[in-house]
Amino acid sequence: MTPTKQITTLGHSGLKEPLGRRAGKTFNSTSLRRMSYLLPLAVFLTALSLYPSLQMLRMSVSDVGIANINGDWPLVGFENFVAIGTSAEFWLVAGNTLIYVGVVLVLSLVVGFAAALATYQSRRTTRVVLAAMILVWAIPPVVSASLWKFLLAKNGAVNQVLEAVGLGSGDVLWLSSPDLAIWSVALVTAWVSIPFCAVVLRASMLSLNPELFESSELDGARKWQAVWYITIPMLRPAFVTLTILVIMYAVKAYDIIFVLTSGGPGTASMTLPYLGYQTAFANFEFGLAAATAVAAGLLIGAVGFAYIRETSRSMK
Amino acid sequence: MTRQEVLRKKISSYVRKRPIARVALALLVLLYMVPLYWLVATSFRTGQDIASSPVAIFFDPTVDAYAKAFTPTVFRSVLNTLIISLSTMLLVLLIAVPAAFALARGKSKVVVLALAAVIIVQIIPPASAVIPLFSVLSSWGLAGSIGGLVLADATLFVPFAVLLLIPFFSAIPVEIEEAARIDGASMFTLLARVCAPVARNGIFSVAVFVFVLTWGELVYAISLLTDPKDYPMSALIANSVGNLGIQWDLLMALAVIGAIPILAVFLLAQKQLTEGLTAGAVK
Repeated sequence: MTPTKQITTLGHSGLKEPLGRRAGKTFNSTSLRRMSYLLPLAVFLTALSLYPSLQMLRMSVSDVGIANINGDWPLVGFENFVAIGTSAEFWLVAGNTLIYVGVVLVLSLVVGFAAALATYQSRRTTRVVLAAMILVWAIPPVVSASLWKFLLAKNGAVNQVLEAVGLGSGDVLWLSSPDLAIWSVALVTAWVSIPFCAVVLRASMLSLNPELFESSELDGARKWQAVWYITIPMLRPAFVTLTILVIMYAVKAYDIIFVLTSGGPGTASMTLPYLGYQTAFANFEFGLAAATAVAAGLLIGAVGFAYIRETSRSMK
Repeated sequence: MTRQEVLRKKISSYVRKRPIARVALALLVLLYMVPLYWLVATSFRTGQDIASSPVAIFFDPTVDAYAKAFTPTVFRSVLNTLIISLSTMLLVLLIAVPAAFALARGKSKVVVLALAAVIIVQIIPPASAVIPLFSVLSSWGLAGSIGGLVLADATLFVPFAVLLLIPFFSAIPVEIEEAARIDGASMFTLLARVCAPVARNGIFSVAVFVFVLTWGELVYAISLLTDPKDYPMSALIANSVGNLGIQWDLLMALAVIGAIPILAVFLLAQKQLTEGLTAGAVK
């Protein structure tokens, strides 16, 4: 019986045995034929991802407005980048993006972990709570955002509850204060993102190897030490993956901001991608918008690099 | 008891004994179940009722808001959302399933390149990608059309679907594939009659995933569609927020209508969704 592992690492799914001591890829017709099934993906992504991305780069160095969007785009070099680089608004929004992503990330991981611990046992109550959380994650973001727009209104539920328990005078301007807006938007986004982290962390916890705990018990470690000093480090791969996924999620977020504050007041609750979108579809300055998007992309690119390394490492 | 069970009991007893876990659970109920309750409850109240007391546990239920909500526009929008979600789901599967099949086995440079491309593509925010997409689609005559939107939505989910599907295809025992090949199966038959059926749980999970995510997609919907009559529910609700502002009962009713199909899918496929959620992250 041919060893399964050997065939897989040698990278072909056909019957042909490698001749001699071949340890690299075997480019026989079978594996080529299998690779050909990548073609729909290749064509699709080239046409609808690669090409538009190249267009965006081209746009970022051109003067593109609503008048010439379908016509010629005169090149203007780095004019767009200089314009956004010297605008206070851009850097303000960049800072906001940092706050936004930071809040979403920290809350998602911390509350997600707490939720995973709290729902660890599979009892009726925990199952119902988990179901509610997953439902929140699954429903359209506009629905969640609409709900919180209602709850965070000036005389909305949240203010009323806070007033009732004596934590304020019941008139916090969650969504219309330039200082609070970005935090409120970040909190709602975290609310939607926590369930995902909770489910992933809970699943990871359920799959932990018991042997680690046995040795620690021999050393006389108490239960809580077991949880904190062993569980969390063992969950590291899940935490790393989640960190990258949540950062990406937060950067991409648009729906929630749009419904809650439309990025306002002014640009107080915008993130960089949102600013780019606004520049394009509200101000019709496609060139500037593309430059904003490219600049934002460079910042995000760093994270993506980490994701690739992590994923390719675990796929080997 | 197996070791796994022993471990679980240990963690469980730790969690159970500490009141902090109870408190955490209570907080979660407050954080997630109460707002959901408010969402539904508010949709069953009248505007004046809400204005006088936004928070209420007891109230006189009325279906006024739903009567106002069920307009032909809304019906049409639900239909649009269904068409868009199903089409996107099918298109994504058509592209991602063969791709995952191809990438499941193989360590060649092509595979690494394809994987890297698929991962990089996911980093671009839709709010950014839509800027050139709008121009590209209109140059192909697809601006403002539902077909164009389906193509755009598919770009959002194809990479994700490919990455989620690969483990399911990799998990197929090589012996099964070999046996099929010995029996003279062509590559296509291998995919369609052998691998896909074995991986069908994964394919179903991913299909549900894509459907659910497309249902709520907003950015491409409001940017790439020009006629509000074509709007899916997400775009309709988003637009209504500005207009309705104070009409919370109607907004909540619309929101519930927009969420009901997801609830239905969720109830039917809860297990698959949870599997799908953890498949990609827990390696």
